[in-house]
Amino acid sequence: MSWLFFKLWCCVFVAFSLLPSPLYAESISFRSSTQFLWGDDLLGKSQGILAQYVRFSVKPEGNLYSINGYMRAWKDLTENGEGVRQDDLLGRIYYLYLDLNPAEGISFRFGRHFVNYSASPFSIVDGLSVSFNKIPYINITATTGRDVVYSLDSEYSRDGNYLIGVNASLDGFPFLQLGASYIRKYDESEIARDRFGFNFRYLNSLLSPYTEIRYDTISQVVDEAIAGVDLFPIEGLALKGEFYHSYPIFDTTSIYSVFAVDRYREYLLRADYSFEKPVTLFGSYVRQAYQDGENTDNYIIGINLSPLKELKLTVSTNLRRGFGGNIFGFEISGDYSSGKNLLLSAGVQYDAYHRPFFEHEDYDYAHRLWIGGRYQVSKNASLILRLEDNINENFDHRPLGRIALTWDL
Amino acid sequence: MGSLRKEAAVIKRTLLGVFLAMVFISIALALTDHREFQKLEIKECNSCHKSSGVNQNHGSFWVKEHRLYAEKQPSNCSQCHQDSFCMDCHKGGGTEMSLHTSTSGVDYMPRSHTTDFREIHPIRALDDPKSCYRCHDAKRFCNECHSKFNPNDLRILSHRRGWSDLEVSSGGPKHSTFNTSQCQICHPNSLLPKHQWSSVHAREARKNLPACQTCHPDGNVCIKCHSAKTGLKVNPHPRGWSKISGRLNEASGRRTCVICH
Repeated sequence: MSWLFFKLWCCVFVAFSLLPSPLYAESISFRSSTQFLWGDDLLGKSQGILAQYVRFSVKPEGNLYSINGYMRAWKDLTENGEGVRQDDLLGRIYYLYLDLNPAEGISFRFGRHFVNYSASPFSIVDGLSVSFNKIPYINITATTGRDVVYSLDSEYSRDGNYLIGVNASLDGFPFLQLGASYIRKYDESEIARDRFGFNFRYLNSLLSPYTEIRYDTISQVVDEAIAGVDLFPIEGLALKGEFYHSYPIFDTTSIYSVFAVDRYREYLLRADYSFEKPVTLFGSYVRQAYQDGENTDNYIIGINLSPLKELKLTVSTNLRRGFGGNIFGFEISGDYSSGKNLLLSAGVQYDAYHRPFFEHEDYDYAHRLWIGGRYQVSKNASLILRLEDNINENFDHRPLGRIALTWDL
Repeated sequence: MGSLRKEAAVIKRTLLGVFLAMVFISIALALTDHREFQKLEIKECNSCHKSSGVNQNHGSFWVKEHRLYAEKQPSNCSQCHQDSFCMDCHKGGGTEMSLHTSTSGVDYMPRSHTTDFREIHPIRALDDPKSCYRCHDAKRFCNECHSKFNPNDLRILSHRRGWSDLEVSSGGPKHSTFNTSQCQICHPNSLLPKHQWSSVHAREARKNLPACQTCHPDGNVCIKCHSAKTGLKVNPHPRGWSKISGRLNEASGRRTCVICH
């Protein structure tokens, strides 16, 4: 299915390319990235993947349209046939759309694109979005099309899987974000989801309250809700207090939609303090609460350092204790710029964890060590090399590597 | 009396002035195109935000905080980032990913996927059960990977001793030797002994039901006990079910309810 759509969209792209005047385009951006990724997969099967990414944007001078695309093709050259991933030649189109602005205050987006409505964030559609902002300070966008869902290696969609949505937002007030949206998704032409979303934030340099609410009209429950406030009491200090509520909702066509579930809530405090260069301290505490009193405490503290202009270091640690398991972990990583053309990076991650179903009381351990570099070969081309080793309960050594040549037009 | 009126008029004028000033500043700042600031350090951005009265952002927890900002329509994000920037993190793409980012097969993984994520992700999935499904589809993405592993390696607490292993009495036959038409003989009206497998399983399922989909995408295994037609006939519905069941039945084209009824 995915390959069929890949070919279909290539045809659409060629058709778009034949539209007049791309030769004297005011703005063309093009990026190609050829990558080779190797190492063992999670089952220990070796893999050697050749991947090609293409991203482009064409905005012809004097025309009211632009074309944007981003896609990749890849093939596992080892052909062991028993790994986690398929080893066929595969393709994925992330987006490929035509933007059309025929008149002031109205625009069309046609093709594969994503929409980010509060009723259903990050939905990918093959279809049409129309934006209308002729009404002062109001922006209205409507979307319809095929609902695109990525599976592990391909795409999953059945006949009749599509969505319709509409979003209305306040526009032109940089201190105020206010929006309401509605999304309906269909599964084989039956209504699978039907939701309203609402988002609000008041942007202020001292205090910024915000909220986001999603309401499912079929189950008649608040699917997700966030309410919080950001405080900036002194220069460099950011504080956050937030409440989060969620309740699992399923497609009506799924048998899971009839089962009883528990709500989940979070109570969060966060702080981020930047001294005058070169130090930033950050920390957070989250109390996670399930409906029947099972709780979890989650802590993060860390520091960003820049002892030299060329060197940036991050050290962070986290502790999770409670329902479902315990984790203690830390991470140290750094970036060093050597001249204008070379960036060297390295890091170590460590996690000690315990899950309730372990028959032993001891913790298990996992490490990841990595090193990498980016060399700017020319103004438009760069070369990346990254090597990684994983040591854990399943692997004494699980090396991974990648090399990527990226060039821009 | 007259001075009170005067004061009220001054207050009104002041409030009106403040309101108009806010509107004009808002409109003026609305015209600010961030494209010209693309290459600034975040610290420099925040210095300008501070003087303009807008709150700072892109701090240490920005990855966890950006969602609401990104829902603003039209979004400021596209003035510095192409759409691929979002796709790389949410959907595994890799043209702009940093050297800090690890991979799983061809897909690039966000930095939240630390060390041995195969072992750790069942715990992380309980830190907001919805977090996984913002990028992955449980029925397709998760199940395609889980189906490659030995089910015994993936067992969660409740599955370590399932009903099929339980003996009907000490030394008696295991439950797996019976079929679903025989459940009601020993468990009339879905009656179960207390402190059995069922309570642990229910507790886990209610807390992260989407996780069940990752190995049982069609839920056929659930129906063995929860169908109203055969088996144990345990009612799985939430409280207040009668208020929503009609709408759900209607929306699904009457095809979900008939699975069990």
